[in-house]
Amino acid sequence: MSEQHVEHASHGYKGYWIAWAILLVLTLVMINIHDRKVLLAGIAIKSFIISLWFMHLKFEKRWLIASVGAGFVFALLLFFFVHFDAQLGAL
Amino acid sequence: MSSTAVTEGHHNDAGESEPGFYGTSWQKLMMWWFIIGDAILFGTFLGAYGYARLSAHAWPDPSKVFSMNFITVMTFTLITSSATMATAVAASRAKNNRMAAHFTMLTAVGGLAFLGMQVVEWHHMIVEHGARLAVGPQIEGVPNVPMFSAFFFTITGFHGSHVASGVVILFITAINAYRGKSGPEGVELSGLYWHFVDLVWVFVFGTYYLL
Repeated sequence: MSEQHVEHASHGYKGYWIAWAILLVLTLVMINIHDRKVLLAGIAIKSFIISLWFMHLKFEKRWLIASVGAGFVFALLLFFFVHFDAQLGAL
Repeated sequence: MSSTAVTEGHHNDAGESEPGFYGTSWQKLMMWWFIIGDAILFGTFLGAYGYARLSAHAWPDPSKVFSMNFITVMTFTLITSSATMATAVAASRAKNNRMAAHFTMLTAVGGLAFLGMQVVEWHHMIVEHGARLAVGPQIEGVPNVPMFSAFFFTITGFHGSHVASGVVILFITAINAYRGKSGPEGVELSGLYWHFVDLVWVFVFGTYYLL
């Protein structure tokens, strides 16, 4: 168990800075391409990189991933219920 | 002995194993659940903002109210501080305490820089645009929508207060790490919180400033 943890930690540094570069590029793409789909895709990819990679969710126990994932999905629903209305043409 | 699932969890600095919950330490579990609660708080804020914006007759173009270059720099600062934090957590796990302390300190400084820029941003809104909690920014050719200000101050204010408390936590963690009092778990937990603050900013930045 603990060996596994150390192993995950040691492949670290470089990967995080690659993730950092990807996040910066995504930010630039989101700012410069004025398209709602690109924007939402950018938000989705960025949040996956941060939660799975930076927050190590990818390496956690499956039940923890499930419980945290369920919470995040609920939080996202609060926002996206409104977004569906926007898709229907109100905005 | 009787339950391996409980004892196999986390090991603190002294190498003692702490009883956890199905292989995850209680501290980490509680941090995650706190984060979920906080995520739902911001979810309601952004949901309410979406509703207000949809029901408003007009909405200011954010790029005419804010300097997008400035917001971009703020975003870069926060993302960079997230990367230094991840490095600190990895260093701390690899038992490199000094490097962990350095990078935690660097993260705290990044957080301070972000806060400073937020102060500039608020100053810009309040002093130059005359915005108040219930008074929209007054700019030529931009509709004056009080809700725009209300959500700006509420959402960025709550996010900023999270950054501020995060900076305090990071300074304490860094100082403890320098003194050898903060082990991998302490750095990891403050790291989780800090990444969450960054995660919230992804949504605030994407939906409030860019959408």
